[in-house]
Amino acid sequence: MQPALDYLSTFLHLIGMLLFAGGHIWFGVFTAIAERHQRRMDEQVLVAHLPVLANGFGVGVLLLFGSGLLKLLLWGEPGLIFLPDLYGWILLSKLLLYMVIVANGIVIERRYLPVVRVVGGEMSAAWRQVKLRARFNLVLILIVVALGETLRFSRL
Amino acid sequence: MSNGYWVLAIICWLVFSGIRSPVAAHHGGIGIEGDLVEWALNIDQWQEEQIDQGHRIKFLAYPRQPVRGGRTRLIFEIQAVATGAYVGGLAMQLRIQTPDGAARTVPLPETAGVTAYYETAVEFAQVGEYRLTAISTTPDASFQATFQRRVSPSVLLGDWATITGNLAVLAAFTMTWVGLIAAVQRRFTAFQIDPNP
Repeated sequence: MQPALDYLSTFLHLIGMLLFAGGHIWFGVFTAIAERHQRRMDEQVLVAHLPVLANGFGVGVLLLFGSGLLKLLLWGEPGLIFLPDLYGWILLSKLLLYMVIVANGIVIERRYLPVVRVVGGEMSAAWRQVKLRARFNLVLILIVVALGETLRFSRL
Repeated sequence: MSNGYWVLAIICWLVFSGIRSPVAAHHGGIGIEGDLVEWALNIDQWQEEQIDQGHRIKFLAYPRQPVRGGRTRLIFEIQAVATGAYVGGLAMQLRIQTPDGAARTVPLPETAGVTAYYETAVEFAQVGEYRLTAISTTPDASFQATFQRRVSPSVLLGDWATITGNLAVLAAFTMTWVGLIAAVQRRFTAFQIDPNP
């Protein structure tokens, strides 16, 4: 049973990374392309797909956290994150950054997504905020991914 | 097949043979196999070693974090530093010093069928730092090594590290839960017009 759950948590973590980290990367690439070519049509297409993207990112976050928590529970360490080992500090950093990412996501979701609109052929201020905050989240996500890889070599 | 494919095949063979060989060559159960992170973390067991009088004393505790009232396996593997040979047939004892300073000595018998493995199981009654000293009383091979393990009151409570870790995970869980509720709520609200276009 435990190996099956271990495998499941790893698998779901990868799917979550594909959805959340991969989604942010592609979103960043497409918005950058649209800005560079100054094509409003491209940005309008992105805006039209924002609800789908938000759903994907939400599912990705849930998969990432759920699978990560399952892994910690399976390992069964008191304190869950292996403090005061180096691994524990890295994991604590990941968790703190994760909370900032989720908080930023909540702000995007609640404050800006409902009001993103094309007004008179111009993109709204909310759209600029969505792009800015999504890029900030992308930077944090990449740091968390890098920390995740650092975990593997923290004791080698 | 081009030269590039041959080079790639040789590199793969070197990498995979390098990964496999330490496992195949290992003496017994103290080696940790499997996922690299789990290997680095000592996920399911505590492991450390000391050297005294030409003997390497490898200490293994299972589970990794002893909890008050729980049964913990303590295993000591003895190896000669000079030759690398595993040393069986020793007369071994384990001195257990509790956090309040009381001490008792228990026999540390060699595990039948596993050379150089000396094992006992202990139920820790107190919370705090225990000192565990493996002592060889064999006349021509006397040595000893002391290891320290902190016993937690439970898997949830303990020292600052345990509490910090649990709180961090709880905070992350709470943030995720709030985000989930906020996201679900938002899907039931009507879209509005941006007041600041």
